[in-house]
Amino acid sequence: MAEASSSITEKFFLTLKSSDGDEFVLEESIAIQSITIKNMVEDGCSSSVIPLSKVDTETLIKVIEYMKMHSSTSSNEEEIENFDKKFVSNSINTILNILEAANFLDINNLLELCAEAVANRIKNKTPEAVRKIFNITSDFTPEEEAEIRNETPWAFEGNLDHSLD
Amino acid sequence: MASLNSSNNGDFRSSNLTDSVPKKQKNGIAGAEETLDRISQLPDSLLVQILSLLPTKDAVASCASSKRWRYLWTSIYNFLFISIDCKKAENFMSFVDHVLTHSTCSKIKKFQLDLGYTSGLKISQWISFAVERKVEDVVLCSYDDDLSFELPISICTCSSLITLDWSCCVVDKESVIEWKYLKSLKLNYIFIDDDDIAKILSGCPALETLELSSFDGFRRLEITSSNLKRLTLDRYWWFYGRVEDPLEIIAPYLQHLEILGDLDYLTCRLVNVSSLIDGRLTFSITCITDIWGVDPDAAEHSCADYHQNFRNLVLDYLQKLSYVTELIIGRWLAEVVFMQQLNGVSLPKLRCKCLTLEMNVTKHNLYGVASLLRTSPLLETLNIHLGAELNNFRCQLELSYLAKGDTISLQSWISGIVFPNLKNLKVVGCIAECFKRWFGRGNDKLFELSEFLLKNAMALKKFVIVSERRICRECLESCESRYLSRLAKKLLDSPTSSMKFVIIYQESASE
Repeated sequence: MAEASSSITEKFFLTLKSSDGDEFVLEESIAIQSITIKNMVEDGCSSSVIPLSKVDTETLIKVIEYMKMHSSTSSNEEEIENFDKKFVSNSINTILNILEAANFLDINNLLELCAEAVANRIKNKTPEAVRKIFNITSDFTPEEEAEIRNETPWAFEGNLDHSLD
Repeated sequence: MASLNSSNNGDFRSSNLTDSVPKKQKNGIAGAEETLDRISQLPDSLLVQILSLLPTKDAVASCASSKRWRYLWTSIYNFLFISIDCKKAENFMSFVDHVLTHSTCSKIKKFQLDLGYTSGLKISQWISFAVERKVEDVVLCSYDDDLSFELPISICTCSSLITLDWSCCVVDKESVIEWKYLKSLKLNYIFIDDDDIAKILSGCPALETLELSSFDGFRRLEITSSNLKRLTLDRYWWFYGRVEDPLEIIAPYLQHLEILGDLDYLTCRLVNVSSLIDGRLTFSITCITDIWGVDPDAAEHSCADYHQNFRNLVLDYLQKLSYVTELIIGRWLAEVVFMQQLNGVSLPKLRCKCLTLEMNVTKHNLYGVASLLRTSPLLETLNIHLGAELNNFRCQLELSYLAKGDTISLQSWISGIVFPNLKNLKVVGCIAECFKRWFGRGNDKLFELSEFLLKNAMALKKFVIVSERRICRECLESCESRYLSRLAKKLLDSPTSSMKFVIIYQESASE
């Protein structure tokens, strides 16, 4: 009965479940930007809920937001460009969560976007600034650190940026 | 979450999204996010990917962050060595040597050297390192045009190479070129003769894109591979004296052709470009009286013939490109078209659907542009990218032609014309120059052209004006957005023939 009434191309939907147990229903054509999901669909796992045990709700929402913007049917290049620009201005830990999710879900352009965003926050910074930006605690003794810097002195010269932007 | 729901179009629905779900489950207690060292939790592969996006100096510097980061950089697969980052040449040398000695990478993706000097560099040794590790993309970028960097023998037969971009390039006559999978080749500041270029082309059968900038030497460019679809020639560069022979381009499979920059006196003859889909002709030619090293009397004498030759050439270009659907035209070409029209030469019909003008519309080129519009009845989209002129010298002869523009009106120049298919118009401001100074000269004809198009484009749907809001360094005002917003306002009050169209004014903030 249902088949008879659907005259235009049928839309398929998938249910994605975050590690927090939240479920999201998404059009299949959008979701398969993730190669991981695409493979699951092709293997016939799509009839039930797809569990994404490595992606929490907050991150999954961002990933879905991204996939919707980048799906072939919607938005022009300019819109996508602006979206991406805004997207990478998320907090650094959010970006890192998305980066890892994109790696797990195998969404290459999202992975590249996030990796680039992280790299941009390291570029030309002093090690001190990098530590502060990413909350990295040094586990070197001062002597060890001095020794390391001495091994590659040219890596620490030049006009380095001390700011945390 | 609320914003997400409001922006959804029905296919996104969240169930079970209640506040009872602990948000920061993964990160432990709430608030921990602030102090969490999230990045160090990432797997090595992702950290290496991030480090591979950095200039190599920054990647190495990460080793001082913590023990977790100590040796990560040794796995990077992209290398970018910038010589000016090092205070002294010796430092740069030991920097590159140290990195390559400690690298554990077995497959290099990209290897780039940005060099400001040559002395003491072990370029061929470094390139060999990359070639042995099956490098795909190699870039050698030079800050100084006077330097020269010979292609090392090891790279000449590198079969893993996909793209090569080499500045101040010298190719050894004896070397064999074999780039089986090379797709893109860019050579900059290059002097090679006909045999060299033929040798290179036959050595890369998979090549898709060829870009030569600041080139000289060869006068025959024959592309027989059907894979090579894109050719860019940018700037002619004198290396050894003046050779007047034309450069012949024989490329029956080429789909995209770009000729740009200052070509000085070089005549590029399009012998066969029968498969072109789009073309960019934004180059300019210098009058013989303004070319260095030419005897002034002889130049004066041959000036008229010189320009006649280029007028004929432009006519030939329009004929050869009459089938392309996308065209980008610069101000020099538009001026030459105007001069041709003054001589009563008729233009071939163009099948162009999308025309982009890269120029400030002035009294010198407006009528050339108008003639091109008249001869393009299929035109659907017209873009005008306002841009500063690089070379604006014009000789007496050119000026005497162009002065005729002072007494012409657009309506009489192309009277009775309608644009049956023109739907989209777009003006983009991207001048680095001060608008106030530029348009203060009274040469500006952008409004006149825009008004004329509004009046005669019956099917017009959209007129978009894009401006960048920036403070001009010269007048200390946002002269560009002021000028373009005023243009938009003036156009709102102009008579139009299309019943249903919109004027859109966009302003973007500059960085």
